Amino acid sequence: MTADTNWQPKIVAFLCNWCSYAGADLAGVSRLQYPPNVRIIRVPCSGRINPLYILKALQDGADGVLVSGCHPGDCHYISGNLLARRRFALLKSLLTYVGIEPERVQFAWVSASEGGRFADLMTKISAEVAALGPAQKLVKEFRR
Amino acid sequence: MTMEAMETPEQRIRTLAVELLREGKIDMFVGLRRGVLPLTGTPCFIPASRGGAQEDLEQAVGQLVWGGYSAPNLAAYLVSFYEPDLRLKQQPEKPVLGLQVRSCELRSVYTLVREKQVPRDKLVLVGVPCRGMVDLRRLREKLDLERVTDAVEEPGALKLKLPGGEVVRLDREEFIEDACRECRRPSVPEESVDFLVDGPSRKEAAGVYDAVRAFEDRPVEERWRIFLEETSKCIRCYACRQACPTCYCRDCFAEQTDLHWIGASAELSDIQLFHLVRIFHQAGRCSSCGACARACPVGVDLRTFTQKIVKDVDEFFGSLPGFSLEEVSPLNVFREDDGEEFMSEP
Repeated sequence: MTADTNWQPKIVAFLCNWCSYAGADLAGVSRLQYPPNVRIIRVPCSGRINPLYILKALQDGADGVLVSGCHPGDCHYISGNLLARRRFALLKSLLTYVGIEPERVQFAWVSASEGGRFADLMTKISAEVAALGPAQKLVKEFRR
Repeated sequence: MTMEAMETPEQRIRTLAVELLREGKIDMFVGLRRGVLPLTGTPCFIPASRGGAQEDLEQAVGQLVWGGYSAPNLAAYLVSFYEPDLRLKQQPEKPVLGLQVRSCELRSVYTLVREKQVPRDKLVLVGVPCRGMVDLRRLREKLDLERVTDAVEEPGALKLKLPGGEVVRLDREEFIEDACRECRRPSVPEESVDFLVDGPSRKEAAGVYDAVRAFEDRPVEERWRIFLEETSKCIRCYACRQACPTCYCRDCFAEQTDLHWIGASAELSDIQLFHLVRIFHQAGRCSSCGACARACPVGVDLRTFTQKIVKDVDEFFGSLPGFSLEEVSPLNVFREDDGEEFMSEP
């Protein structure tokens, strides 16, 4: 990897339509500053996330992936986030086990009113992923 | 001692198979027979409607073996018998199968029944004791298996015959598969099968996740290096998937083309994704039988990685696939106090 002084991490964030997406929106509306490295993908629920989405994002060159949904008890679909929590616990543990840095894949709860929390979270994750450098593992090399 | 108790497990399996087939209680018996190579077992399907004489049936059943040969998980053959034919409006009556099952196979069977892939009332389960399977890879390190002409099992020992009358005696326990060595529940519970064959069985193992724990303790870069090494051996033949009873998806994500999840080549990243998702899909399903690792033609250490999900499901959610229909898949339920130490806080 050539020394790219302008390198900025690419972070893919899967945000729940009912909470975190609105939380990100609130952060923007409130003019809260956070690093612009995040690419937001809106999903209906954190329970909608297939672990393959996360792996696929890493394969296609994301330096970090964030999945964020409603706090336990607040799910628009009653329990989607609680079912997701089990899957994420296993996925994160498995990825860490095979040697992916734990900071690359993160999960969080952010409600629609927590614009500040979202901005802080993105600042923290962005710094953590930036410290790790560009993702090298699982990334698919495209040959020409 | 009664006459029945004096039967060897092998004889008992044969007697049961003949009785079940002759009395019309099953349409086919699925068991094991000797494989082409020494010390291997291969599936043996004996249909009831042979239309021939009594001797034919007895001859066919006479092939059935019980033993610690390296063999596939027989539960993997069940799903295809009960798959609906989507072209037909009216589904034909499905066959009743008699199945010879070890403890690990039985756990797979129950997972399939719970997941509605196999109807329990179409199965006659013959539980057999298990002393563990011979690990051919370990044996190959010791001697040239191609030269072995015949193998005889004796209590605690493995007698291998070589050309020229030479006989090698080995301590059987030394050449047992890791999956069997670490088996926590080697015996079949009587109430979960229709017939139980008596015989010598392994003892329950302790320290089952030692290999996983040892791997966890390695530094992150070393873990990645090993994962890389192992996955670079993989040739994407999908033998691990085919050998696994609980990998039954009709359309595997690895071969879907309308949603092209992963490339079909042997590109390393695609291989790694395939294995990560394959392992993830085993959450709450894997019976730790070791059939995947046994089927792998290039010797990828599938066990060390697949056991991780078994350990996590066990430790996080207190769930381990067992021998009953009442269990629920750990990923279909939740508890409000499920651990969330892994979640990020700003």
